[in-house]
Amino acid sequence: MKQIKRFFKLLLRSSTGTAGMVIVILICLCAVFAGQLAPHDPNAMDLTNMTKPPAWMEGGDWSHVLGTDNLGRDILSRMLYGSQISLVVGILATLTSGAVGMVLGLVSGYYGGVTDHVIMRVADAFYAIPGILLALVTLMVFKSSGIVTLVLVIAAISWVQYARLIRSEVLRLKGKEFVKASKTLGASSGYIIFHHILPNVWPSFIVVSTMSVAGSIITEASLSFLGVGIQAPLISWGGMLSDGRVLLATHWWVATFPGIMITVAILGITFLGNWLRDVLDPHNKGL
Amino acid sequence: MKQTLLKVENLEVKFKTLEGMQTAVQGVSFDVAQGEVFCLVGESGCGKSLTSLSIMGLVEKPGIVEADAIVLDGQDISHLKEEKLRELRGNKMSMIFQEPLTSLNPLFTVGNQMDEVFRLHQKANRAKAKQMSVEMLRFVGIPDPEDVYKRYPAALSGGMRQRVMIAMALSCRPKLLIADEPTTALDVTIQKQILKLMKDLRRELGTSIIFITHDLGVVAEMADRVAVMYAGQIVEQASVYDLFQKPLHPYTEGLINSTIRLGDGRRRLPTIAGTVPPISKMVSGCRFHPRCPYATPACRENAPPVIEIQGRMVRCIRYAKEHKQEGGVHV
Amino acid sequence: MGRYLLKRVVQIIPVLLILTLIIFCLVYVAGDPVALMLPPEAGEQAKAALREALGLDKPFYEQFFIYIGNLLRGDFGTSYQYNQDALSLVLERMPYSLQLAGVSLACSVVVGIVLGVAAAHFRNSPFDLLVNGFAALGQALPGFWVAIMLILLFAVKLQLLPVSGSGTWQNLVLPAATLTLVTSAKIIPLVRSNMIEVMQQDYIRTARSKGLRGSTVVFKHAFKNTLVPVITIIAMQLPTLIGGALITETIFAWPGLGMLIYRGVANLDMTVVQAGVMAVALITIVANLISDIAYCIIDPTIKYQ
Repeated sequence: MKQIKRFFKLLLRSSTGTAGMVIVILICLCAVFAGQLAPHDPNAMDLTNMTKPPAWMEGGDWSHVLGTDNLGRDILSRMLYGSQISLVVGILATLTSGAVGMVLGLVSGYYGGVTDHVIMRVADAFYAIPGILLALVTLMVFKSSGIVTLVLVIAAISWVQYARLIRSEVLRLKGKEFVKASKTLGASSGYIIFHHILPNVWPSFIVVSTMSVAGSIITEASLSFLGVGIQAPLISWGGMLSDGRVLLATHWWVATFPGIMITVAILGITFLGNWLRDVLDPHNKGL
Repeated sequence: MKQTLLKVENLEVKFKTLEGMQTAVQGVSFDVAQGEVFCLVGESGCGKSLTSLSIMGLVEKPGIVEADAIVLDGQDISHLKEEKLRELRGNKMSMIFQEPLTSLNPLFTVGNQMDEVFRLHQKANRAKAKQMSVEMLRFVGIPDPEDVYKRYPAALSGGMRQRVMIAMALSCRPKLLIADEPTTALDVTIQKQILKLMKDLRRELGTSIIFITHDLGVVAEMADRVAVMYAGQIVEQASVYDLFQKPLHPYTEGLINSTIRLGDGRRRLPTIAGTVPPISKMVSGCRFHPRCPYATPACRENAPPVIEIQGRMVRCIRYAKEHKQEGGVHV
Repeated sequence: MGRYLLKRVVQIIPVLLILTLIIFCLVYVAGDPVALMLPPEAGEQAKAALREALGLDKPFYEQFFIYIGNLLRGDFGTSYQYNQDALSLVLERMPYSLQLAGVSLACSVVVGIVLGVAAAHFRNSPFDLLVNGFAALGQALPGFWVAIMLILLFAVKLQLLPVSGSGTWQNLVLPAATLTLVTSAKIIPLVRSNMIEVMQQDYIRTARSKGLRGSTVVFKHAFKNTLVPVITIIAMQLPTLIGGALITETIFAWPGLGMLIYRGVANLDMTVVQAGVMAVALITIVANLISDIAYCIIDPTIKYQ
């Protein structure tokens, strides 16, 4: 209880941190209550109401606050449902890549030697291919585009940053007196990892994870924009943007609102992440 | 009496913080004569470093420096523009710092960093600057100056780096050298060498030195005159002989009593109880009263005046005239 | 320094091997290209003959070694889609990618360093706030959306610049601006925070105590100490700009490597994909090696570690 109080006290001291937290909570609420909040069925086509402009523009009305797309689907409803996909993919991809990267980084840093070399060279190889490119090729080749595949692919392109971060932290900690002392006292590797290394690695891990949720959301949107990510009937912000792209010159709202939504979401997560970094990990300089 | 080189009058350093203005150094006044070693002594955080940085004009924002006057060699530098002050720095006055390991830029050679001073203040060309730098390195007793000139700081030991710092600071034969705990980070043997070097250099060049330290042993070895600082104020000023012979201020007394003297045997070392109050929670009245063994109710209420006695200065109510009549201390 | 670099170069060999394996696996999974290469009316016999000719009937590991052998001889295979040597296709597109990446990277570095240093210098001022806002927005805006909005504004509404294509400098402006916005937003906060940290170091105080000009202190003594992380992030951005700019390239119909690979994979023309991905990976590795060399030049203490 005391810690929660302290957390909020620290949070309120930073205006961007507070803003980030509020945005993140709002988006989570949108995702959870999309069914209750959405005024329309997001996939319901309404051929009498195609490309209807937002309510405040001429020709718009309040039944479709942000207008409709070229199939007459309500943009606001689609955006609300889209937040589900973005969050689910973003969080799952982060958890997966975080877990993989954490384990590999720990093993690599703690045991060193050949294991370290092998893991780091694999990491180098993955790192040498731009993430979006590797994801695109993999998705196309496997001809599969479910959420699970997407999560796995995004995790495959982002585990490297965790592995490298954790490894360097472990190497740093391994040289510290308290670890050496523990070793001299005969502590087992497992004990040292869980009692001395992990607790000290958490802060930077949490910071990187937060930022990684933002990265994963952008990657998901990019892949969906390219048409290899989330497929209908599931709705993704990137996919909406892709749909609206051709209508840009005539019906700007179709592509603009999902774009704003992505931006606000990423901004919120980044703010929260920056604040977490300042609080938890003051040495990290934002690489 | 030797000629006065530096006169600081009523120096004040303030910081603008979220909790309002906070004064870190207050009412500091002192003189330094030509060729004199003047020691500023005090615990960490007492404002001795800030005092020296304000003379150099190196206090950074959000710090604000105010002084009635800072007269260096006949020129009031307290209101000089940065551009003019810059010409004095490294030239007429220079400074060496506590951490020789981090005070040199790791990415430039010793030579490069030394040359800068000559090129800037003496408009020397590359070859001339190099020649003067090597000369200066030899002057501070570096055995192979040509080699050290080419080295990066990382390749030198702490004592070597401090010698380089001293060489750099003395490059333009400054009138005033401020040494901010120059030996604190060094081994005892190296410490001795550096202190000896500084004494020799002073004799040779006639440079006045403001020597900042918390080590009374170093004070006894180096100083002509001493100012003791406590919580941002100078509480006592005297010649080194007088100070050790008969400390006036209770704080000085405590400091001297808490140093080991030869032949003290197994006596338990006395300490000064309590800690320095932080500047954000400065106590009323005399700043030392919570820790002072002689504290009276008056100490809690009124800030003590600065009292001059026999050419010494002390900031303590016990030496005030009216107080003396009520049974104060006689000097 | 020599040993350090040698170690770095030696490390490249296993990385290349693993890379080849990853790419080969993708090609292998992509499946049988024979059906795509022959006319639909071709019989089973013709298909089998082609398979044998291409070595596709051999087991996985054998195919892999043949593949490596071919790569070592510079043979990346022939694109069935363009009916052209895959390597020459990649080399044809490379200048476009390098041009776009080069211009964007140069702009990003200039913008990133100037704004980052200035924001650090005037920290907590309204200017700093503005720069931070710009950086945060640049990181949050999805590149493809920026691209679309730029087209809407400059090409459709104002009609100042062409919507897409290549050939003239006008074609380069919008894609380069998109990439610059996204990339400089990553460089600015890094330069800023490093600069702030370096400015608090003891050697900066020493430099000032020598009477050096403020500009000398900032640009000589401080800036060089921020270069290592800055070069790291620049080296990190280069591959993203060359192969990872495929969305920007697609939107603006810029015929770079990214687009080549995208088209290739869409048509399952895996020879092109592998040659393209390999080229991008090589550039990344070379960029990293160059940044390693740069560290050695900037920071002599690496020698002593």
